[in-house]
Amino acid sequence: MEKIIEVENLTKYYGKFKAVDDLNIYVEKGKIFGLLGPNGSGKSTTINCILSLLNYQDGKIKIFGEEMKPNSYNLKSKIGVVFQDVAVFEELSVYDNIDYFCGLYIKDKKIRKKYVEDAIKLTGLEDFIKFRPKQLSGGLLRRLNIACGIAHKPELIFLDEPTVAVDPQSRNNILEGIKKLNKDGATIVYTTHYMEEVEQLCNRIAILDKGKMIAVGTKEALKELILVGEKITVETDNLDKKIIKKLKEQKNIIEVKYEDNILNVTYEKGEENLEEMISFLKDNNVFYSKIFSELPTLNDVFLELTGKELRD
Amino acid sequence: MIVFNKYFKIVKQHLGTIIMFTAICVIVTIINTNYNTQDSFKSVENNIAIINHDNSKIVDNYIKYIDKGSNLIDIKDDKKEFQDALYSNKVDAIIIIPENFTKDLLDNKNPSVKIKKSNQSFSMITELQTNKYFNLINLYANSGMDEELIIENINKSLDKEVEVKIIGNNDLASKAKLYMFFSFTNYSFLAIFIFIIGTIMCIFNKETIVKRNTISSEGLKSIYRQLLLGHILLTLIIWLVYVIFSIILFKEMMFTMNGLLYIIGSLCFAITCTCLAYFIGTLIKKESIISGVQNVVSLGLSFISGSFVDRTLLDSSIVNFSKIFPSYWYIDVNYRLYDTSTYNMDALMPIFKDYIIILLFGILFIILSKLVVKFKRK
Ligand SMILES: Nc1ncnc2c1ncn2[C@@H]1O[C@H](COP(=O)(O)OP(=O)(O)O)[C@@H](O)[C@H]1O
Ligand SMILES: [Mg+2]
Repeated sequence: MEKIIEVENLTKYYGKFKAVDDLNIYVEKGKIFGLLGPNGSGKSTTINCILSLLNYQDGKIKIFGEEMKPNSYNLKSKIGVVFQDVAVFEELSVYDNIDYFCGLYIKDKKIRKKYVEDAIKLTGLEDFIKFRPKQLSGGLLRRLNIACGIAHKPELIFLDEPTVAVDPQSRNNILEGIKKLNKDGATIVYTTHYMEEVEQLCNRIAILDKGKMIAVGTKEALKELILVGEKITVETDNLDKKIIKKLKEQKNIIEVKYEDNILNVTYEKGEENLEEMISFLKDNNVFYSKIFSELPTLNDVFLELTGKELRD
Repeated sequence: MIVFNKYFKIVKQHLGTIIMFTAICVIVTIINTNYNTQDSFKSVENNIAIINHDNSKIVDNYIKYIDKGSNLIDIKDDKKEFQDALYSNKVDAIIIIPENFTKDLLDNKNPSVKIKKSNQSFSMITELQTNKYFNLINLYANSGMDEELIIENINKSLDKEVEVKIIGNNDLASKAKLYMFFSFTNYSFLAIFIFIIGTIMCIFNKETIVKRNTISSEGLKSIYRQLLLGHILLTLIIWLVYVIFSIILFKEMMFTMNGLLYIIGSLCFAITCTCLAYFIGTLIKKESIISGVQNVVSLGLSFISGSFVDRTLLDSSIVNFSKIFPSYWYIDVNYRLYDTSTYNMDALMPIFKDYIIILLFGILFIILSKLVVKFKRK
């Protein structure tokens, strides 16, 4: 597979503060690559370094096999960026904003008109083209920001936390739009601190914490990294201590917790354990109102690797 | 040219402000025009004090001439006395004739009388009469006449003028209005250009927008070149609007040498205002403080440079201080144009010198902007 971005040993300091620590990642053509990490983990800094917007102390970065320089216009024309902070003109309408940013790349008026219309359609802004940014809700504003970043149909797209503080409807629109861009051939770098999004969207994921990459791979591979597997939750009143003790002696079980009439059982990774659990409860005459099983999430991965929750 | 294209869409959003300042300028001029009809010139006699340090027949004759249309008031030859008399409206103007004035005049040394005024519009007439009188003397003296003959001739031609006095007064009044209109542009140009160019620069200097422009394939140089082109075109358009208004208000007066020189002066000043606005734009980060800066600079410079209040009413230290701003020199040009009726080299040279000084300020502001940008990068 062709590697569109290659980052080797990237290290970036802000003064004495190390924001990115010896980072190694690559992004393959046609894939959606996710950078997952809590706030302040260095996602935006990494993207700004890749785009040569920041100087870095150490490391080698190549995009499309080249080093990005201020005058690498050919390279820049193939890239679209949606920054974390919304960058639009308050004085211009939705249409004019998209037209401006598209016009920085596309000179031909006819082609540009078509591209701008495509971007409006993709982000579902058809009903708002005459609105000014101030008149848009948070979600629509984010969608405008995205439309401005991708209207020129770039081959490589960076999206830095495009769904922060966005309503569910806009979030769905954004995620669907990104899938469509990818289906149409664009390679995508997506940063977020929402694990559900990367699970839903990304082919490969790098997990960042405090500027360090703590794991990278497909979501399946990442889940293989950790010890915990399935989690079973049972809602049941007045559970006997003896039964809890008995449960702890069962094979494959890592942890048993019983609090506020809710029983949490964590298994080692491997087979499915729901059936066994149900028969155990039956054998011991335990009545329950609800039982369900959860497979491990990237949050569990993060929790196990760093000892803290992904979301603060 | 997408940046250039959207530049004017952004300007369109602020058209209201531009129209407002232009309207103020035009309305102030129109109100003054209606207020000072020829009747008011005829019925109101100015109170004039003449301090004469030069005893000659020509000056005596001049005093007689002024006496015909004004009340002559006696005051002491003392600076403090002058100021009191002007402030209390005891006199509308004080004319001071320096020593050796007649001798210098006949020797073609272009001496000038000092005029201190309180009420601009009324005393302007006296001022214009004074200029006309001494300009005529100069003309006769150049043709080799002696003092007696000059006086005889000048009285004849001034008598003739009495017959056309109404027209003449009207002419003088228009001249004063023309001066007012262009002096007021000192305020409106400063206000408009600082506002609009400052605003556009803030918009394009926002960190998010700069980042976004930087990673585009357009190139920052091209973007800033297009913005510059926008500033230049915008300056010319706004200036042209003012020229058109001056033609509507003053008609054929604008097609004289005098009118042309006013127009050139206003162009020089418009260019320098744009440069000043550009400099201010490099200093300001927040759009929200622009209107504050705009008000302080435009009102402040207009007051201290004599755009709103006549310079003779201002403390001389303020007037001297205002020389470090282009407004002083712009008002200077306008004042000279109002003051001069014949355009020979001697009259034109100081006007051209003022044009150049105004434009030098423009260059200075550009250099300062470059320094600020360089300093910021570090
Ligand atoms: N310009 C800056 N100067 C100093 N520190 C910064 C700057 N930008 C970011 N940081 C710090 O670097 C760390 C990483 O920031 P960032 O890359 O924005 O994280 P993320 O995008 O993952 O939320 C944070 O601790 C942040 O406080
Ligand atoms: Mg960030």
